[in-house]
Amino acid sequence: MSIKFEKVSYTYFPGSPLEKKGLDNVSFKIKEGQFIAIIGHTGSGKSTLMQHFNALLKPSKGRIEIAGQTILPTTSNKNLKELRKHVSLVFQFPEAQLFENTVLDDIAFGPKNFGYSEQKAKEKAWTWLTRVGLPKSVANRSPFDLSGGQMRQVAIAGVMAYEPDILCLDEPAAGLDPRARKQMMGLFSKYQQEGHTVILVTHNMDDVANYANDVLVMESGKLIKHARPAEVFKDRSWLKEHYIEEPKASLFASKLTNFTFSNTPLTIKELVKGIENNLKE
Amino acid sequence: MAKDSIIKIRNVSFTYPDTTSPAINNISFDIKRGSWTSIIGHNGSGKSTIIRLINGLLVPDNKNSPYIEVDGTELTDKTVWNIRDKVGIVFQNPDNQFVGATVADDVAFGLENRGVPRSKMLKIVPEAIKAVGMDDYTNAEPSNLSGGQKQRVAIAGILAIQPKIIILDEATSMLDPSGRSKILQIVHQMKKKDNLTVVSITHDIDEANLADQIIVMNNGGLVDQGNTKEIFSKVKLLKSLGLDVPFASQVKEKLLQSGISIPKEINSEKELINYLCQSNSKK
Amino acid sequence: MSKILIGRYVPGNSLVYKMDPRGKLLVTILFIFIIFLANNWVTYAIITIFSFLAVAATKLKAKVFWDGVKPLIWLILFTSVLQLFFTTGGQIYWNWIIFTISSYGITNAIYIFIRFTLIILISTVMTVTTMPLEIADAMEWILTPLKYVKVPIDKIALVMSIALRFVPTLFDETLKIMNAQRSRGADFNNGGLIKRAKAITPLLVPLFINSLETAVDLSTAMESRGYRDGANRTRYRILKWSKYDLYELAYFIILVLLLLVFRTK
Repeated sequence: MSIKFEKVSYTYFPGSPLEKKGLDNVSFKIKEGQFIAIIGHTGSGKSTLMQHFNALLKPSKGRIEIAGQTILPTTSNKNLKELRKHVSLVFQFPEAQLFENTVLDDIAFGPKNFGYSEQKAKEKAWTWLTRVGLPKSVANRSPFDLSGGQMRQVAIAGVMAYEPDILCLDEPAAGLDPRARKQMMGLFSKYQQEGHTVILVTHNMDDVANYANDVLVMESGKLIKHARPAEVFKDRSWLKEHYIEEPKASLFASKLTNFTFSNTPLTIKELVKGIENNLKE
Repeated sequence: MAKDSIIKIRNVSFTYPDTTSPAINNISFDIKRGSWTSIIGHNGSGKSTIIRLINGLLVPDNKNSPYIEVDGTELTDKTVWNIRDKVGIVFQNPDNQFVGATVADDVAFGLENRGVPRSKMLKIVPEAIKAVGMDDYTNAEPSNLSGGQKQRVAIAGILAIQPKIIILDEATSMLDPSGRSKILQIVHQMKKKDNLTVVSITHDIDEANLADQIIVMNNGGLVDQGNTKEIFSKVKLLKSLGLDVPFASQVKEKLLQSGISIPKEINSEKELINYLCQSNSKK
Repeated sequence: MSKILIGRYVPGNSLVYKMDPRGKLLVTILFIFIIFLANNWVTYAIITIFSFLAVAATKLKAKVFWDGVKPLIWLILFTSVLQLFFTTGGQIYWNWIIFTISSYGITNAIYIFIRFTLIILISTVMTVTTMPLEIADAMEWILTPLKYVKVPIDKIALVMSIALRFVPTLFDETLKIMNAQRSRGADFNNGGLIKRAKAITPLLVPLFINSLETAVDLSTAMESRGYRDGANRTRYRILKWSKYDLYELAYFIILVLLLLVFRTK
């Protein structure tokens, strides 16, 4: 199965003085089961694109095929539950969506909405409470008594607990400290390896280099590149032209002027390996 | 040395109401006048609490006779407002510190509070707005600004009161990379121009790397303090505290692990790159 | 991105925009009274022409004003129809049980219709050309006399201005949380009243908590920036009268004079 966008455009406030193009004729096809990164500047259309994945926004023009469903401009707002069960979105700073009395209830909210029995939903909640790295002891506490980082974990658990086939995340690690960040990215990577699709909207090029195997680059509502990370980060002048940062490893490599790398190193592992090869030759 | 300390903290502890363990546990340190100091530590290590103690938003626990001094003035009930004139803080959330209805109104807020006559404000406000490059947005409303632009306005509001110290309390953590670098660039300029002291609380390793001094905190205590190069060479310590290590230090460590010898004194990115290039041309 | 047009302010720079909000607010309020001076075809024609000239002076599209009238159109028509059927006097054209259509009824219905529409038009002229913040400032000015009976007008004004400033933020926040909960399978559109009321908890609790957080952050920031109770604050933004306000005043006085001259005594 794949996710397919065919000539999708989206216009905000059509016909008003505030009319603005959010997406402009975007077409692509991505395989499911991948770790996909969406990059681009603030206002490039990344968030607009993301909200199309579960029909929070519907295309003004074009068609989308995702999780076995088709979304058209005419798609009704009713009966989107089935789609949202399979395609889930996590917005920036998702801790803002917590509302239940206990951590466990909050995690179980999604599963219950999507038709799990009370008991099954609680089971799922327990499973994901621990999988996101929270101690069991917080289960019956109020989510509002936890630290910011833990609240983030609760929110993420609440979305992963119904195990969507496609998980889209907008800067899920923003504002977290390095340890929490690493742990969270590891969680998503594992989820993808278990056979799900993970779509990550991010500014962090190291995360792209370390985890993604397919990249969509957005600019002013248009998809300007769709390629593997190695391909995207290969062309330095193209990156500069579009104000896209490089991963730290390739930036470091570029400063080693008398070294030759067969492929631009994207991760620290590749970089160290490349340096070794040069020095030991 | 103590003479040119702009901030002096002695034996300060702080416990939040309804909690048992202190958020800050008997801390003492100095911050040098004109320095750029980064305070690093994971979430909950007490970094932000320290800031709120420095400008009297929080009052230290009454034990070990705590002492806080800012720019030669001891912090007391009587001096707290003078001290707030000397310390400008940019907070984390761009929206939640934007008080004014427009950019100009927000920049003027601190001046209004200090009873500065309007004729003076008319001069100061546009200058401050210009200094952060927001002059095209003087009458813009916050809802039409990006997070980075709002933070620039926050800086302008601080510049308007001509403080001695500017504190960035995770001020760039909610911004995208371009917003972040713009803010840091502006603070850098301001520091140079007005000889400000900068204290930045951050997780961002590149931001911390801009500092000349670093304070490492953990569980409400001060773990280490020193110049940036020295602290960032302590890879093991940083890692054990769950903190990030500069990329160059990571590379060095990995190279050492794979049997490539690198002298101890090679630490910064520049040094490492030079060293590697030299070794590569020598062989 | 939810630019819901609060107060429907539309940016522009025609001469109406240059007028002082205090003048505009005062004239708008007075207009509601002086419209009752009109009591014959000539005076209604005069006030209609004056109003439409004011509308034209904004240099905005007619649609802006139609949007102002539209939500109230049924109320206006209903009131007019009541007048039409229940006023008696003059020539009677039609009569059924208690309903009458008379010549008085017809004129009254038309008068009411004009009166209502003009009041809305003139209020719209003010709200589309004046930022909510300016209106708040103007209200503060009108309420200034209350200072002398110890009403803290300054504080009320600051609270109003902060509240207005956070309206768009709150809208964005609401939309964001709604989308987040929708993604978790919440349904805000379907089901009966009870189900919908229940569905709103996941929206209201986060909004409330976030607003509290904002309030705490904001007060911390304000205090750090030197705001304190009882201190003598100065004002950066002040309102200034200009020649445009004289034009406005003259226009208004001419209107009142014409109405006084031509109304049926």
